[in-house]
Amino acid sequence: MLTTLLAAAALQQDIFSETFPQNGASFKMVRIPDGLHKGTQIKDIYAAQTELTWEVYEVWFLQKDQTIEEQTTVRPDAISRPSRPYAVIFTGFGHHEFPAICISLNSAQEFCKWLSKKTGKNYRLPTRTEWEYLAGASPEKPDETSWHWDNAEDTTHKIANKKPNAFGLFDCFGNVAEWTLDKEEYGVAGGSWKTKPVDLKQEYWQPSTPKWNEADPQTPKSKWWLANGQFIGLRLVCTK
Amino acid sequence: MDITRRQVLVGGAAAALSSTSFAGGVFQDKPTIKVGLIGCGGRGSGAIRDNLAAEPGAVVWAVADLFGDRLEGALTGLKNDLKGRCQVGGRFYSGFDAYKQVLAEDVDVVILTTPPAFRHIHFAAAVAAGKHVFMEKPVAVDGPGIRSVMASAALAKSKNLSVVAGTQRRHDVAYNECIKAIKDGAMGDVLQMNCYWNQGGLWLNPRQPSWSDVETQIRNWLYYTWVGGDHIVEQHVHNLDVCNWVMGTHPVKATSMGGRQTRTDAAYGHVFDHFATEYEYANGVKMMSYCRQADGCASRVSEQIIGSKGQSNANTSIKGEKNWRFEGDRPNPYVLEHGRLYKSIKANEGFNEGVQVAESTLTAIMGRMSAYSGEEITWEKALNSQVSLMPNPLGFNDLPVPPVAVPGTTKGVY
Repeated sequence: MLTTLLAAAALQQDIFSETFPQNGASFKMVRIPDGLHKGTQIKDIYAAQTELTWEVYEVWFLQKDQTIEEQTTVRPDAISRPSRPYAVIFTGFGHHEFPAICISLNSAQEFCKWLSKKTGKNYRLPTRTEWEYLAGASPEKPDETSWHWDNAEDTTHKIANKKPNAFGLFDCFGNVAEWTLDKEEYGVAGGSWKTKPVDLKQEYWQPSTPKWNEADPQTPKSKWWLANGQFIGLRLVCTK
Repeated sequence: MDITRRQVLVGGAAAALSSTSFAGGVFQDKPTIKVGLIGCGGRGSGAIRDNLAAEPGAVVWAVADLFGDRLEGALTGLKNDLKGRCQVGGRFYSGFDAYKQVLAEDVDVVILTTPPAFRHIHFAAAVAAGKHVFMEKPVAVDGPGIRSVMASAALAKSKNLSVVAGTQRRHDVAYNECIKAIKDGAMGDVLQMNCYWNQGGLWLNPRQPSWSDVETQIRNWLYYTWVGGDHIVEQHVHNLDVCNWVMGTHPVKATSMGGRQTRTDAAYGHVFDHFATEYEYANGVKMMSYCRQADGCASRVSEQIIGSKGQSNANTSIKGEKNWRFEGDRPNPYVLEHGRLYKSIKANEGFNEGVQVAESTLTAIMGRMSAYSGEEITWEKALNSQVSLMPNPLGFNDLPVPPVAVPGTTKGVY
């Protein structure tokens, strides 16, 4: 935390927090300095300091923001929420302060909709170009910044336990790969605990594939959870 | 039966005249393998697709489900997704006896994917009818059901029928490589095992006014022991099966505790939401088993095998004197298990997982019996239990929910 504050102070960064009284969960959003990446102007954007944690995701997923009555009343305008995963899937990847995993693109988008409605801000997934910009240069010393194939012991790790990048963001490379969404394409960026350190590059990006949900034994397969997605999470961006 | 020119030329007229005469090489030349699906829920609908993915010559021939609405929904999906490989025509049936109608059809293979309570009944009927079987785990919920499965497995063996169970870790390449290495001594002697299925809560189908008690309970089968066996049986059987696989046998006794703390609403029936069980094998090795369904908690679904020279998660790594790590392609085990079934059928091999899955299911039932009663339960006591949980007579009747078991007090659970 001290490192974060120092980094923020050095950059004189604009940071705001979202807190959820239901379970005390919170996260911080960091103003990313405007700039140009691959010909695209990146402007007025905040990025989550960390990958999205289970605690925050569960406020939505487990309907912790609703009363029992609200949970059981069908409202046509309600944002839908994930079904309960059956044969899943988190398989010992950690919970408190760990990144949420197995998140489908549909889930990630619906979560952003819910969060935006809740906060009155515009939360969404980054585009691939935005992601590359906020992640910054490929790590020179992956062990210092990232959980990857050689040091992660085949699992995710608690957020923000490695050095942040120049913008004060943690775990952009490694730990969990993070959804990016453009008009034409979607996939995950930054690699994960499954990624060899040599591949932890700014451009490293994996296009979405049905294989990420191959092991869902049910039909229809879940649109909310990726049964093979133990390496897939997300990082929020926000344009106020 | 479809008769094609190839079949007449290669398989011969005899094969064409009898659907059950495909022993030996004849089956290999059957142009169409007809599959019956009994139980059209999410898993059954998934399993039939996995089955067809494993065998290009297979088609869906007949389907059954207790509920007409589930049957209709599943059939629509099959027609849309499978096109020409869905050849059900008018062979779709609902009701408690629908499985009999599927078995009376000219099917070669049946997939048994109803809730667990009915498995042993369907398995017995399928074997009697001479069908090859894929059946989901668990295969029973009580002692009488397990004995039935074991008897049917033996009968299947005598008929050289192939039987594969839905313990898909047995067909996962990583589990196979790792457990082979463990058995070959990669981490010395097995001293202790731990296994876990800890996850959040699951789905609920709120009761509709038109549903009887029995319909409500079957549509919410996870929460009623007579239908689903409780979650130690229904889910955790996978992890217990891996430990039995490593040991090459089943435990001889269990001492368990458990209860119901977070999922207490009557809508969730009477099952527990957590169990912790100590199992002991004949050679003295102990297995600590944990399972929980509670929201907002740390989740863990895995096994840990501790040996004299290292330890392993039973699938991707062994650490110790010798380190081993699985690396490479890991094809979908839900398809591979059906591939194994067809390999056996075509080779006339009689591959039969019936007893193995019955033993793993009884391992889980033994833990439940101990947790519900508060007593140590031996293998013999569980296996020879005379307590049948199946309502008699079975029908869409009233059926009061038993009180939640209280260890040390509740009687009649084994």
